[in-house]
Amino acid sequence: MPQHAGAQSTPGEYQVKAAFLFHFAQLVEWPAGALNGGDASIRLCIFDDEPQRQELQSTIEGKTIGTRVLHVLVINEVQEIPGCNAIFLSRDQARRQTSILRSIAGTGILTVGETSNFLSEGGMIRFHVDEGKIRFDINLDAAESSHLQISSRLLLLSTSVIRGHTTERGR
Amino acid sequence: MRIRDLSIRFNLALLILSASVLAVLLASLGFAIYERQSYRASAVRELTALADTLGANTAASLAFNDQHTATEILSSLATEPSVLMACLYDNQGRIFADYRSSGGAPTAGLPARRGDGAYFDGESLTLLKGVQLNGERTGSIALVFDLRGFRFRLTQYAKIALLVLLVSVSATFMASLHFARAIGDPLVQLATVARRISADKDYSVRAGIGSGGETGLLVDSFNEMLSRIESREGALQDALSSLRESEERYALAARGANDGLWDWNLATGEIYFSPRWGHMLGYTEGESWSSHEEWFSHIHGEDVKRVLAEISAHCEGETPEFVSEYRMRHKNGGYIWTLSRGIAVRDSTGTAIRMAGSQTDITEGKVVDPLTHLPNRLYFIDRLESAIETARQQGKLFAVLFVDLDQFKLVNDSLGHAAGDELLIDVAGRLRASIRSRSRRDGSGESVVARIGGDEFAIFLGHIRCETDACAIAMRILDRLGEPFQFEGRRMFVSASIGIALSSTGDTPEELLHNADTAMYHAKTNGKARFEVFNEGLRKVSVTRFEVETALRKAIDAQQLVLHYQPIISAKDNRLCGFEALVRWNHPERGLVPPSEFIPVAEESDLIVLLGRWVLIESCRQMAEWQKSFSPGHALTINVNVSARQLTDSRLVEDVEFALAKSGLSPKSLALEMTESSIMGDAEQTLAILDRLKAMKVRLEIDDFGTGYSSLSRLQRLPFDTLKIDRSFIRELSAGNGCLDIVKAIMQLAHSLRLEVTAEGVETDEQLRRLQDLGCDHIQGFLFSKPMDAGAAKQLCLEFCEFGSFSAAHLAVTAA
Repeated sequence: MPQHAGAQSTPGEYQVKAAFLFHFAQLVEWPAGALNGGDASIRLCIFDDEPQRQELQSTIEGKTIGTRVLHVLVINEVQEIPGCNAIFLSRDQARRQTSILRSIAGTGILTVGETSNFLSEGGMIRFHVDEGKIRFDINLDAAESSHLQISSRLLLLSTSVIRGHTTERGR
Repeated sequence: MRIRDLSIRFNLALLILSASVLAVLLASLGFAIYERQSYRASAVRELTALADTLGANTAASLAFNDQHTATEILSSLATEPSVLMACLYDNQGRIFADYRSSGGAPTAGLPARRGDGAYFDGESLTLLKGVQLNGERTGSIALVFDLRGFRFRLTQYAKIALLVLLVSVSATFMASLHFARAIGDPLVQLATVARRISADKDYSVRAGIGSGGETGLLVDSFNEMLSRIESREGALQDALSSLRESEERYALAARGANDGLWDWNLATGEIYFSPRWGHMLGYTEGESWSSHEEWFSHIHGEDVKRVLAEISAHCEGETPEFVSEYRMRHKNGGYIWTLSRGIAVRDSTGTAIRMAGSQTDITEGKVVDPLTHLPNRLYFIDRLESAIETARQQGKLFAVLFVDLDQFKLVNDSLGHAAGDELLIDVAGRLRASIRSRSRRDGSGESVVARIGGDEFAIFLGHIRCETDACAIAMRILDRLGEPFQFEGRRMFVSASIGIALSSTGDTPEELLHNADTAMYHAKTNGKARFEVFNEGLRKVSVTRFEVETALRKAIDAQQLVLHYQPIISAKDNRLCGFEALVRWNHPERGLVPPSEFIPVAEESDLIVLLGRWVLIESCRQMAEWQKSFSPGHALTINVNVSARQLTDSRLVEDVEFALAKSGLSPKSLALEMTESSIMGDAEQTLAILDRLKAMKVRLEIDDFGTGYSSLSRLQRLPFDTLKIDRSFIRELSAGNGCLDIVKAIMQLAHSLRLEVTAEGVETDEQLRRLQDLGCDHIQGFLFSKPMDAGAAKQLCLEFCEFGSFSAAHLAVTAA
């Protein structure tokens, strides 16, 4: 249905990435008590200065995962990060990426980025574009060290998985 | 051939077999349907599970738009050969990924996007199901399942079912053979036995011992039934054979008796007549009667009232049985005589409810004379009746002839009844022959000869033209009867007197017969051996024999009989020798009846004995009286006629003894005259009587000599004293025709036998002279005196005493 498909407004790159972020939240299991007790919501933090912030926010804000609600939390400071369950770092945050990853390693916060060295710096999931399609890689060690369980189905879809300092090629 | 015509064994086997086949087929069908359903259900279940798994696996692919992974996941379906196709749709309904099995038809299109659910499309099952990622629908999956695998399974099942069917059919066939034999064999045996029994009628055959259960019970019951039938059959056969025997005996008897049978149900009025009944009356079996009215309507009008009365008398119990003789109308219009006998069957109250009996045709016995086989009086009257009717209608003339034999009593008495019977048979034959020749000659009318009395015959001559025709027949009959009869080698002469009555002289059979009888009687009194034709004049002057007989019987008692006496004179010296006593009937109305009118009648009945006895006693008394009064020097004799009938009666001797004893007359003064024919019979008894009379010294004289056929040797042996020459010879004495020579010869014969000769009927002097010349001993006749009454005779005696002898002149004066 190319005509039909063409007729639709082709979703922007960050619209797709926002949907992916939502799905990641679906397929990742946080350790008990990691999620906020009261409303059991899942907080996805995005820096205020992210150029695509608006797009991301409008796509996934308020979606539910089971009984939980996904909230997009806009932060300005690095100090605000520990209150997040997941954080998306676009390539615009590349300068403070290394320090952020280092500071929150092992704290149970799902980290998603898009720079080429994101995983090697301790990030967990990294977007990349392959033949026009948005794909992702996973650093399982990083996730495990944060006690996050990533669904095998997610692993199956990842282009590659880093585990025990080796890279397992997915598909 | 229909199923119920087949043997029970075959039927049973067929039943069991078809039941088992049907059971297997139904079971297989049910099983197949169930299998199909469960196969489909399991297919749906399996496919749903597969869709779930695939959905779960591909949900993320959809979420992350990873067609490659999705296709890869779908391609894992290669391990499921039954899944023909798979298709993954995104939330917009676009095909996201698909799969086709290598065996699937490459041309088949991907399943259309439909709502979730299972769809059976012919040989395939399409399952559509949403794909969810943690409760979030990311798309849907469609799986196409190949149902053809079921067909294979079904084929397998069918093969198994067929096998089962074969096994079960053969097993049930074997079983049915066994059961059918178990059930059918006793039945077949029963049927065989029953068929054999019905074919051979042999009820001693039994079916084999029963094996218990219902079949055994059936066989036992069957055998028990056979036993009963056998014993009953035996009893029935016995009863039947005795019944048949008695029926045959009865049928034989009925046939032999020639009886018709009748059986009348008085309650319902139904009546049965046997075929013989109908035949008797001229009806065929198809014309059988069914009601008593038909019976009674056929009975003669004169009999029917009496018959009905006799039937009801028996029904009322007044007579022990119903016996009746009556006439019934034959189909041909005539009547037959029948004898009916019947017995009523009564109920407990004695009411007659049924009556049955026989009917015999006794016409022959009734209308045929058993001796001569001629029709009898009954038939003759009947025949006359119809002849009168016919004559009246057609104006035809017919005649009735009454034929009476002269002196038949004499033959019967002197020669015995056997001779009399033979004579009658002979006469019957001659009469028939006379009539036959008539019919043959002119073919005119029908003729009937009947025997209507002892020696009385009647002849019916139909269709004569005039009196002369009847007279010609009468002449012929007289001629035929004039020929001598033969009896035991002896020739006899019998004459007959005939009376003729023409149909114009009477209106009833009785009247005609009476008229003929009257004419016959007239012929008899006119000298016998002749015929007379009835006319009205005859009716007035004449009386019938029957009337004479009746009157004569009264006359003896009423002393109307008197004796006249004719003197007998000695031819030599004209002396009075005695008298011949002659009986006269002094009839109160008719005056003196000549003896020729009543003596023949008396001779043909027992009256002659009574008459003879009276004459004998009276003659002796009279002569004894005269002898006491006069004494002419010699004893006068009294001659008394004795009839042939008296000579066969031994009482004659007693009567003579009595008459002599009572009168005191000397036997020598009594002379008994008897005719030649009356003593020439074969009766030894007659000879004995004559000898006894002779021993008593009574004189015996032969009367009317020359008219009969005396045998000389017999004449010699008989103890006669006097021979009396018949007046017919005396009358012709001067005629020159040889009578003189005959008288002379008789004289010589008599004298050579030492018999005296008396000549009677002497009327002229010439006759007297010639007789005297010939040496005749006694003379009797009008020349001297007619018969005279007792008073005149007494006077004659007185004169005789005075003059001593008769002279013709004197006598003539006396007679005057």
